[in-house]
Amino acid sequence: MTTMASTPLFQPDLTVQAHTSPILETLGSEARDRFQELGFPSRRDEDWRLTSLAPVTNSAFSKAPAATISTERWSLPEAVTITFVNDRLVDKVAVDSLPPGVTVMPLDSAAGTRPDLIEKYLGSLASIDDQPFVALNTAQALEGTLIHLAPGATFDQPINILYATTGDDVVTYPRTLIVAEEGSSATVVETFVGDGKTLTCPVTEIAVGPKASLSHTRLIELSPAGSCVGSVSAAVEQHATYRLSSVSLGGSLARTDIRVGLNGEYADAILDGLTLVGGDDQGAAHVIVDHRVPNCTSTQRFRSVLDDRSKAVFTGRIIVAEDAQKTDARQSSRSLLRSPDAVAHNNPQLEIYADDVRCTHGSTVGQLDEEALFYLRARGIDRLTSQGLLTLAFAAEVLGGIPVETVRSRLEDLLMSRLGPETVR
Amino acid sequence: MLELKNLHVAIGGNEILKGIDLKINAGEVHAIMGPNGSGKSTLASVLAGREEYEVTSGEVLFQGENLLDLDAETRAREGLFLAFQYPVEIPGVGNTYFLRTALNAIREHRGQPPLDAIDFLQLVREKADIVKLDPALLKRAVNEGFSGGEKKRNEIFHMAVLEPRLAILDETDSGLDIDALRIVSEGVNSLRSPERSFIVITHYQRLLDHIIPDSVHVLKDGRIVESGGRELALELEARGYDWLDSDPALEAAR
Repeated sequence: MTTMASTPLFQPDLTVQAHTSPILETLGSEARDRFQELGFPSRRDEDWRLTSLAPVTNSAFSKAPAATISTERWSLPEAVTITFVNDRLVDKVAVDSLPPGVTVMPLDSAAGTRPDLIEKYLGSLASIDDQPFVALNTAQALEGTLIHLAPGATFDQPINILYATTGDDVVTYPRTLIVAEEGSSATVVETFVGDGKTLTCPVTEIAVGPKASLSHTRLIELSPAGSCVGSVSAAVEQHATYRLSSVSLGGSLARTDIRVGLNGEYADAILDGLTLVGGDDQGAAHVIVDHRVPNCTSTQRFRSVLDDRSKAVFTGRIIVAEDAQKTDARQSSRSLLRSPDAVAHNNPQLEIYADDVRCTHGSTVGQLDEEALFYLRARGIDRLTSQGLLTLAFAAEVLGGIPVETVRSRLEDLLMSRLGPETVR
Repeated sequence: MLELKNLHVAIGGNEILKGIDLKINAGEVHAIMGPNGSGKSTLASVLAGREEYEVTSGEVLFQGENLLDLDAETRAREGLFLAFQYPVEIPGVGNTYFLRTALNAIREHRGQPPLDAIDFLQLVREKADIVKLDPALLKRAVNEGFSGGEKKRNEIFHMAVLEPRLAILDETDSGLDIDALRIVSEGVNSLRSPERSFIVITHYQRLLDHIIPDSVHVLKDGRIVESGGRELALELEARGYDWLDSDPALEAAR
């Protein structure tokens, strides 16, 4: 590895997109300029010190052409579903017959029908200033989804957004904007599928209005050669709740930057994360929770399971502003190493400027608990099954917050086949 | 059932058990008493198969087999059960699921077919009743958030389901109030049978008011320094452990 930045093979196409909407066009050209200034991050950037971008920069990715892929595995019969393959809308299920106050539509149509929302929110939550991949995404055609919940709209059906990328050396830039107005509530499942040697660079922006409640499940499911470098930015207003379950099941590089601003008093954020990595893969979650006002609560619970020579990074920064008194912020990060060659970095970072706060953080990296292992064996369960059970339990702990039963049980089955008794080496 | 012959055990080079001889027949209940640090829990751990203990000499026969050759899970499948002094909390593993996995592993070892979910549930309800275990605890993760008393009851409940040949109760009375002690003891008594033996390890005599032992042994400084009937426990309660000398050479010189 050289310390000098060499010219990346991946030269993103930054041609200014011809948008029907002047808003999108302005946004796109500003972002393109910003990306050209920033370039890809290097390991000299503190935020990227522990991430090797080689899987992104060492391949000549080009925009993914139209393609088809079977998406049955991710279908949710109980949900409203919108499906994109290679940045093209390919399917909508029940999207056009939603109750009043609930809108799910492609972003490009939204620019025509709801320019007010696009203008107010798009690009306002995910910052291009210091996030090159957000700038890169914003410079593109902005293919993706708008979800809007009018004041007081509560929607019980899950909203399922599927972004699939298929092919080799192809890149996509999915974009999601979720606006939950005052007193509304919804459950969103966002899945990023990579089939082949793909790169997905998604950006999700979420505004959770006063007293609104949004549950967000975000899944990354990639082929071994696939990568996903994306971000979630959420702003949570007073008495509102944002709940995220972020699950990443492998790929060469799967990194998610999560930034949550608690902007109104009594806002609450509950962030769960699970990363599975094996081979030479890297998984990373970089979280910033910004307590800007008093009386907010936040909980972060991140887990990673590592095999082979893989690497997992968790960075969790909690910022408590000077007047954000009575903040209650909790963070736990735990990594389970199933191989002596795997490496986990857990970095809690607290920046506390208020004095009357409660902030707790705990971080562990290690193997399975020997006491628990002996307890299971002493009841007659063999060592391999015991290890599988405990590994499964460790990983499954953070799936409990996923509200959609179909998704949760599919993930539990997946964990069973990836981590269960049959897989212990 | 169980025979210990001149058992010597060390951990980290320190000898803890210094030559234990003990014979337990089927259906008998033996109490092992002794002051803190005498080696009581070490004895329980070694019998259950904890690997950090080193057997430096001696042997242990369990149902005629060399117990020390077996790993912990095989000992359990052969019918040995340890009720832990400190039952372990296992978040994410359901109490019932865990127990069913354990029971079916033992049944498979005995050449019996696995118990299906319905039969198992029936069995669990019946056995939970023996120790008056709150049914809500069956649905929780193993021992997670259980009170001290609930953990000990859960151990006896596990024992009732797994039906061992030899059960070792390691300070099961510690941390129990008098009502819980009575319930746990009744649970143990209901499992007494001519085919099942017990080793009851305790610091205090009060447990033996409820579980009446056939023999009482006093362990001190890694040796059994006194053996007797139930009345020995009462004498220990009255006089403490100091009158018993742990050094056989001194004993002989007296």
